[in-house]
Amino acid sequence: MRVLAAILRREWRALFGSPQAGLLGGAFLLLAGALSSLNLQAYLRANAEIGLRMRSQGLAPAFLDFNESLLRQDLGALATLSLLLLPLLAMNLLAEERRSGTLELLMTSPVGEGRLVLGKWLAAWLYFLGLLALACLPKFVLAAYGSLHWPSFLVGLAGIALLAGAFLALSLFLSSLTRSPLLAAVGGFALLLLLWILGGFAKAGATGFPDGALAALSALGHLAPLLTGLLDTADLAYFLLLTALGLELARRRLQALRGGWR
Amino acid sequence: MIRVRELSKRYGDLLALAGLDFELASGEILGLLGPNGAGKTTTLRLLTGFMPPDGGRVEIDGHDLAQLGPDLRRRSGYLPEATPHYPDLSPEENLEFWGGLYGLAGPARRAAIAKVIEGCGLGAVARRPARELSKGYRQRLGLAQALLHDPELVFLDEPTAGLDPLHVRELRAMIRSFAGNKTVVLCTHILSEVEAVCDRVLILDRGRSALAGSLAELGQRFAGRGRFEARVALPPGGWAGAPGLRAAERLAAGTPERWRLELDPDAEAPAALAAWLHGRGGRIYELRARAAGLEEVFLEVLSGRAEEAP
Repeated sequence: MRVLAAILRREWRALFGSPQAGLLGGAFLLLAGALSSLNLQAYLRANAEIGLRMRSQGLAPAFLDFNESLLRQDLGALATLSLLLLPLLAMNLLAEERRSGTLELLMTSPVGEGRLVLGKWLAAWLYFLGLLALACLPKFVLAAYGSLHWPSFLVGLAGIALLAGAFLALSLFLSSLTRSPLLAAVGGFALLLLLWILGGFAKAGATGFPDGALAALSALGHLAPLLTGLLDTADLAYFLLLTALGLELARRRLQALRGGWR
Repeated sequence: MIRVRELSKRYGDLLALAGLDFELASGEILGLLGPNGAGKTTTLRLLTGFMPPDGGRVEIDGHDLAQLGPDLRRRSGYLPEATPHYPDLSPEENLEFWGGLYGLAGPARRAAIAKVIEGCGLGAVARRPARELSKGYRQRLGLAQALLHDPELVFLDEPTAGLDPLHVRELRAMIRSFAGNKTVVLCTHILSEVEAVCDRVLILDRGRSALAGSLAELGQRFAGRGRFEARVALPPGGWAGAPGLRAAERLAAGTPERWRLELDPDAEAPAALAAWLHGRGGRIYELRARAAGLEEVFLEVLSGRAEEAP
């Protein structure tokens, strides 16, 4: 635990102290706020139009479901923004250690590769969860004006948290493959985008792969039910397995860098 | 304490180490010398457990290095040549991080940090971001990091590279003070550093041990070989025409004069020179073989002129 705490402190210091991470976090929150505001405007406009139409037909005005039509849109927007943020958040985690030579010191310290990988992933994941919590603060204000369905909302948030965990683990692995953080970010983004849009290929049925297999691998396909508040163990297992895969690949990569020694 | 047998390492087509053998007793300071590409840094990386050898074996206190894993790393401190550190952290914060990785916490960590900050002369810059430190202070930070957990084994790769003479002297004095307490392997290009700091020397050449021994042993082993010091009264005309004399350098004037002489590496050369002096009216008061300096040994070994003593 002591070692893990030391790695967490170090990574948070790097994240909170670096203008780059601050800029990323700020941009994430700004864009999340902007998208949320656009969603809210669209929601209000749609409600006004429906109200007008119903009144013109002599019916009592009705409103679109707050959870269905607004919060789900907001959660979807947060998930999409995460796709852009996570590779940038993870790009330095190991690539920078390799570039600066500190990896040699880390690998000759008593810290095992597993704990190193876990500590770095955990630090980035918790940092992201902090940003997610900040991005959700306005939702609590909105909740005062609508009936927030808490279980659905929390399942949706958990879905984004799981997605972030998996995507960070994969990005961490890519960060272990190179000394260039930029290359790690570009590779990470390409991989995550591929996972994101696999479902689209499945629908098109043009790849030659069984559609079921592509759909099963699609991150969006597994996230969508969670964003609607549907909790399915298959979706949870998908993200947990993807996280474990990314972390294990990163651990093995570090082991390979030291020639296979434990 | 450290025993290396037939150690080899290959990077693709390049054979970096080709069957290296040496031993180092507990508390000794070994200087690893050699030209660029001789395998010095590779040797350190194998000894620190950073990477495995392709062949051979390293034993620490009789245990195979491959089996020691984290135990070895807990007992050893390493200063790589590039002195890596986290530039956004101050020396104190860097040391807090590394202390945490080595399991130090609370008062023990604070005490260890205070000790190395004082010992390595980092007090004046302990709270400045490391990116603002001079090369000398960054080098000190690297050494402090290597010593923080009070390791028994210390591996130092070019610890004084790029430092000013004052820093060099202080750092060498500190490393020398480890003698008897810590086992140190010091990798360097600087021969005077080895003479100032080390008990033993290992000269590497193309991944092999070209020569090993204590400084005194090597000096004696290469003594003679044409190198002499003499007290003489020279004949008129000086050394002109002296048989077998390759070079002469006057060390002190007076009667007799002190000279450093280089003669042909022929067993009869000293006797021939003495006879020549007497025949010309000069006198020889003393003629003794001179122990070779490390630089002479190094150059002889690498130029292939040295003959290994039995």
